[in-house]
Amino acid sequence: MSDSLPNEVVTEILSRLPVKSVIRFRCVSKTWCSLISSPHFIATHLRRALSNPHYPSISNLVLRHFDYRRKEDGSLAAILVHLLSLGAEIEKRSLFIGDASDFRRDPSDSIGSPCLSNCLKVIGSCNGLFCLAQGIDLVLFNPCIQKAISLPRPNIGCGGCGRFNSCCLHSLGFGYDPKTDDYKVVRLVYIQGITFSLVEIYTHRTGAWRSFTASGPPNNFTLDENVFFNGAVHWPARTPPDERPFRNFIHVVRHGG
Amino acid sequence: MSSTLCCSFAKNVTLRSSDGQTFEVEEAAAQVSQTIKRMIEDGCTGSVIPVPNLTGPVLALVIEYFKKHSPPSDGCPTALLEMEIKDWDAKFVAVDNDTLLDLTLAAHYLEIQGLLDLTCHRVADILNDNSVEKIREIFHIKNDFTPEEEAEERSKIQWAFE
Repeated sequence: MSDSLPNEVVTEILSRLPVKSVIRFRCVSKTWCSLISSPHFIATHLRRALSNPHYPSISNLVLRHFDYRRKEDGSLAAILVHLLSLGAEIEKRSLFIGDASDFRRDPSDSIGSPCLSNCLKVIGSCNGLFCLAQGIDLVLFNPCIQKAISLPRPNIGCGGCGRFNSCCLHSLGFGYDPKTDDYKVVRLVYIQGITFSLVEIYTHRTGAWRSFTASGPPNNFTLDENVFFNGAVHWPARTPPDERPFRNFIHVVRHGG
Repeated sequence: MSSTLCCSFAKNVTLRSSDGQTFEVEEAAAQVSQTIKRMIEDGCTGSVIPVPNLTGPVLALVIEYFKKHSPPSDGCPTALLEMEIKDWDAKFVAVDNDTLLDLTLAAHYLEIQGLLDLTCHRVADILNDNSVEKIREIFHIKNDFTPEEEAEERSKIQWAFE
């Protein structure tokens, strides 16, 4: 009789397993494969994992070092991430995503090397997903299933070259909007000579960026430092240097907007 | 008239399995199952309650679970009692794989959340370190991938087999 276990029961069982086992069991049958790949199963598994403080794969992960290679057109061709998992035993792993031919070498010789300016930057992490960036090139990375995808470039670049450079500054934030069940990237853009700040939001569901001008006063933000909390990205900010009185404040961009 | 409002004696219900076996069990114990609880509330207690998805031997096991997990008469389970129940639960699911899956299904059909958690946890523990082939054997699943399809699927997730 057990060959006819209802999907709900299989979901109940498999959602209690670590990611690696679940992924392996995609090969059990076509039914299991499509069940494990379904949004409902993924959401159930995530909910259970987040409610379990001892869950090993998400809670104790250190990203130690990143590197990347670009294609000729400047877009990202591959990324290299060294992971340090602090579970029951310390595990070191290197991941290559994309065309990894440039990285082929013993990963152990680079794992201790310091990460200098050439590194990918962690924009934020949420529900086990990481948002990494190099300039305006962004990658969403799920270390548990060892998958990364490149995001389209934002619309606002400089001089039409599409490359981020010093004539415009930006700050990126990453978070999850539970209302729309969607992951979003927020980008604040400051262009020299323009007094208001521009905001761009990437929503993963649409796969596209949309831009609008920010509400509130044109602020001189403390770039880069931000935290995703309570459904919004929070930036510490201050008034422009020539403005009095001088004030520090928190600028909040709520993703649901 | 007063019998429905204040019964000092334990009231029993009769459950009938798919193969026609009948079991008498205290009403309060049977209500550990949300499905049975709803049937009792809907007034099905006068006759036998059919449990068509469960065979006699599985229903007998489920009734053992009911008895252990029925609300205590004094209403306040002690820490000691909780520990004892935990030990009992662990032994209760230390059964062969087919029986364990039958109990899991029974917990699903009868909406017994505690038993569902218990059995699913146990099944997950058994599955965790097992091979794909062993999983098919445990669940009696027919591999419907062609060899080429399976090889392709495996190559996509090579890391999960390391």
